Amino acid sequence: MARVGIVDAGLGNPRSVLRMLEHIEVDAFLAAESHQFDDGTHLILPGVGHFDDAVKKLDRVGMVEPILQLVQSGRPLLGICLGMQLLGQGSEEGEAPGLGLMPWTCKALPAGAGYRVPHMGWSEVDSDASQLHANGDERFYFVHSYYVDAGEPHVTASCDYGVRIAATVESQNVFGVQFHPEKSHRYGMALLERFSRLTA
Amino acid sequence: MTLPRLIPCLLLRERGLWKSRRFRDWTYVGDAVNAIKIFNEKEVDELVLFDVDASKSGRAPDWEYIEECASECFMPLGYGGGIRSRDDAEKLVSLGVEKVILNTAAWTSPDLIGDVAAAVGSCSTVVCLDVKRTWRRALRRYEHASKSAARESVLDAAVRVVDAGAGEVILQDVDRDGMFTGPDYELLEAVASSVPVPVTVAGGFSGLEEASEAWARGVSGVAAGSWFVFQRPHRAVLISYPAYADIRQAWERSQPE
Repeated sequence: MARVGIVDAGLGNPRSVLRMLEHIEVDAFLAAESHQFDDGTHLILPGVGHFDDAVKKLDRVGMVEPILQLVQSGRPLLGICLGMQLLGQGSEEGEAPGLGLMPWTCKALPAGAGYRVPHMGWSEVDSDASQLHANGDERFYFVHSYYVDAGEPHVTASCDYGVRIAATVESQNVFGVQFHPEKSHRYGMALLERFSRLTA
Repeated sequence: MTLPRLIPCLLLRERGLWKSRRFRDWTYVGDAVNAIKIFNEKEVDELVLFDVDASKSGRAPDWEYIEECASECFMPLGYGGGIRSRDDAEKLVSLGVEKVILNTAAWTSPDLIGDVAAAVGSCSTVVCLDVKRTWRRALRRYEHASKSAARESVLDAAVRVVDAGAGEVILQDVDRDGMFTGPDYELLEAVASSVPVPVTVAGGFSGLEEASEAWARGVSGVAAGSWFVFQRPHRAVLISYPAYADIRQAWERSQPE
C-alpha cells in the first residue's frame, strides 16, 4: 500500500496536494522533517516561488541529502512545478544548484505575440511512453515563468506555448511535472493515482 | 495555444449560495461547498466565488469558509468580496485561492491594485468592473456598496485598473445579471479591445452560442451564474455544465480560420 510523503518546507502549497491525494483515497502525509521520509513509500516535492529561495529552504531544513538518499533507495520522487525544476542542474532564474537528478537547466520562458509570461492557464499535453500519463486527451493547469525545453533528455510529455515546453520528465524513479496536478481536477487525480501505484 | 474559459460564478451570502436578477430578487440556491463539489465532478476548469455582502457590511472576508471552499476546489479558484489590503490578498492566496478579485476597495483606494499585484503577482490580481445603464441608457461604472453610478466611463475605468497592475478584468453587466438575455456584445468587444490583459465577462449568458460569440469578439473568459445553477423556464435549481467537447467546439467556432 502506498504511503505518500509531501515535503512541507515552505516551498509551496503541500496542503492542496494532500487534499487531492486524500480525495482519491491515497494515504498521504505532510513531511516537515526529513526523518519523516522513511514513513513513506513515495515522496512529492511541490514548489512555488523563486528557485534560489527554494534551494535555501531545502538546505535550511537539511532535506537535500535525504531526498537524494530516498531516490537512491529506489522510492519514487515526484517534483511539482518548481519542484520539477529543482530536479535539474539549475535555473536561469537564480544561481543555486538544483538537486542534479536530471541533466538539464531551466530557461526563462520567452514572451511573444500571444504568449504572455507567466504561462498561466490550462494547456493540452501530449505524452509518449510515460508512466504517469494515459494515452489520449489530457489537459493540465500551468503557472510558471521558467521552463525545461521539450527537447531535453527524459521528457515524456510536452505542450506548446510558443516554444515546446516539457510538461513531464521521467528517469527511473525520478519524476517531475511542470503543471499543477492538484489544480487539474480529474487529470491531476488520475496522474497522482498512477504515481502512487508505481513501486520502488 | 489557449483553451476556452467558461467559468461558473457563485454568489455567496452568509455561507449560502444565492442567485439574483440584476443583483436584486435573490433566490437561495443551496450550499456553496456542495455546489463546488458538483462542479468538480463536472470538470469545470475554473471557478469564481463572490461574497456579495462583505464590502457593503464592512466586514472581513469569511476566511474559514473560504478555506473550506478552496479545499474542495481541485481547479483554480478566484475569490472576491471584502478584500481591502495587501495582507488580505496574501492571506487569500495562502488559503489556496489562485486569483484575488478586487472590486469596491480597488475603486476607493487607488494604490491597492498595485500593492496586491506586488504581493501576489499581477496575473493573480483581478479587478471587477460592474456596469449599469443610467435612466438615459448611458453605460456607467456601478458601485454595489453605495448603489451609485461613477462618473468615469467604462473604458477609462478598465484602462486605469490595468495600468495600476491588474492582470485581468472581470466585466459584470448588472442589468443583464440573471436575465438570460445574452450579453451586450458591443460593450464586451469594446472593453476587450481597450486593454491588453484577459477580459472575463459576466451577465446575461444563457448558452454556448453566446459564449462562442463573446470569444469571437476577443473576450478571454465567459462567466455565468444563472446558466449553470438554474434550469429554465421556471428557474428550478439544477447545477449543470456543458460537456467539455461541446465547449471546445463552441470555442473552435469562435476562432478565426
